[in-house]
Amino acid sequence: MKWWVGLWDRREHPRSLAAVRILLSTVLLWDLLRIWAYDLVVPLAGTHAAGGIGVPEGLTPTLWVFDLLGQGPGAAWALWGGMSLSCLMLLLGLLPRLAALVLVLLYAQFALVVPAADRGIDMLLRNSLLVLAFANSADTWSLTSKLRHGAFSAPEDTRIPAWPRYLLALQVVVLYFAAGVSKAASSWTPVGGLNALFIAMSDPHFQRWPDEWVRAIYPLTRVGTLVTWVWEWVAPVMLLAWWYRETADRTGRLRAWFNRWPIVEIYLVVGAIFHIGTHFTLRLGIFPFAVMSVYPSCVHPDALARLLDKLGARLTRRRRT
Amino acid sequence: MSEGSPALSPWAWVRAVLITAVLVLQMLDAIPLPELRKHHLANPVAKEELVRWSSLLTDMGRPTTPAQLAEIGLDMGKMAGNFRKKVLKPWHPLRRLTGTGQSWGLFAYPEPATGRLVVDGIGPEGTETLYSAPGGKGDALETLLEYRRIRGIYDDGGDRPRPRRIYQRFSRFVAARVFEAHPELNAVEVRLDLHPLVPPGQGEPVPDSKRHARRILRADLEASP
Repeated sequence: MKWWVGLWDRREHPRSLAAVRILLSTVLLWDLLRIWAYDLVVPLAGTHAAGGIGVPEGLTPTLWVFDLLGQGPGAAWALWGGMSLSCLMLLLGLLPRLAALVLVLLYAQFALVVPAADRGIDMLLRNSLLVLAFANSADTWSLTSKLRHGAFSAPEDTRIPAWPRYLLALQVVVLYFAAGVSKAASSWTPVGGLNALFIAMSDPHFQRWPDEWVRAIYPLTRVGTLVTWVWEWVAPVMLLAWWYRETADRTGRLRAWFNRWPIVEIYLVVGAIFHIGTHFTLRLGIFPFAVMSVYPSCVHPDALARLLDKLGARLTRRRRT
Repeated sequence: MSEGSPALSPWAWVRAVLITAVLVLQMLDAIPLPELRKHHLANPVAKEELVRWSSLLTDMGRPTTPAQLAEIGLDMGKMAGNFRKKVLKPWHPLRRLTGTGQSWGLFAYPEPATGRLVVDGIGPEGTETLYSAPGGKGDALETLLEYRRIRGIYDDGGDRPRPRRIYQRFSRFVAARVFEAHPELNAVEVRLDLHPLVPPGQGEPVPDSKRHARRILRADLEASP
């Protein structure tokens, strides 16, 4: 019990959470700007009376955003503008908690305007934003840090509560495991011929490659289907790896084996390869990038610092040569 | 490892209790309980799945018909649905307010009977296909229709045996955009053609068939935008 309470009381450097904040708000801001660029603000955020595709005015209970701002096109622009502004503030790290809270509340209203336009990935973003609303994610790599310390990066001894990062890391595990278990269609299994990826890659609404190409790599798509399914099912292995790291002083062969390997990092690298792969084979919009934006939560701030140092050193060496 | 506080404050205990409650609720929401309903079984993919799994069970020495399997699925689905609904009901207003949840069905049921969005422009010169998924022209209409949120509307609301009401509104929206860019057109047809997928070695390719055609006339749209 004491261990459990102590777990949620831990403190650490804000680096990992700041990385999530920056990546996540960048992806979302990009998506919001596309709504504006395609002239979709009123069609996607407005009432039907204002020219929207949805009919949010028929909902019970009514949406507070339209109760407050009326049903004209101005309400749609205010909704979109509020989301974009709070997203930008979160990206820069200006009043980050308030920005995250306002963003999640407006985003939830936006989701109800045209529910079919709101995808699973939007829910992941909102879940993560709600956690960020309680996190000190802008204590480094932000304007807040610049104002407080005179530098964008906070001093190394800066400490913030670690529990928001733990919740986000848990979200990654739950997302993949639940997605794996939900893949109950036989096409994900040998019973149905492992056709799931072939079907997805040939669906005209998601297809990126011509039919002939997909047919030519059919055996590979079957291997990909199996790997995807297994990879999602084994997501809880990250929990086990964290537990073994936590209890490294105990004995046990499995624990020793787990602690010899960077299991979590390997899982995430496979995940990144999988998501980047799906980006080049399927048109999924922001999906791969939005999921990967939460990945830094699975990495301890010290490990992230070492990784960034290594990358920095490699880049410097390359520049010199 | 992260650094812990040497002594736990009362606030640490309160926080742990709150987080535990949140975790329990989120886990309950995330458990992929089989919430099956009758209309789910009307889908041809579901029918195929029932035949496949019942024959597998029969082969394994447990004779089961697709109808029996469907009945078991519906009973379990009802129980699971009621359980989740009851437990999560008090939290529903908060979930609605924040738009949060834990239902992750990423490509859970890949549909071999896929749809293909087609937009035809009809003018004095005849009919011209302005867009046919997966596109390839790279023009403004294609960019618009392939934006993930717009795709969600027709893929979720239209690509099904009976399109939802939003499909009609989507068709009018597309028509309005097309008329804006093509003053010469006097009608637009939006369709979600049936595009059955046959994996290699499992039969001959099946040609597309017309489905869910909505023809929008410029005059009608201008009369009631």
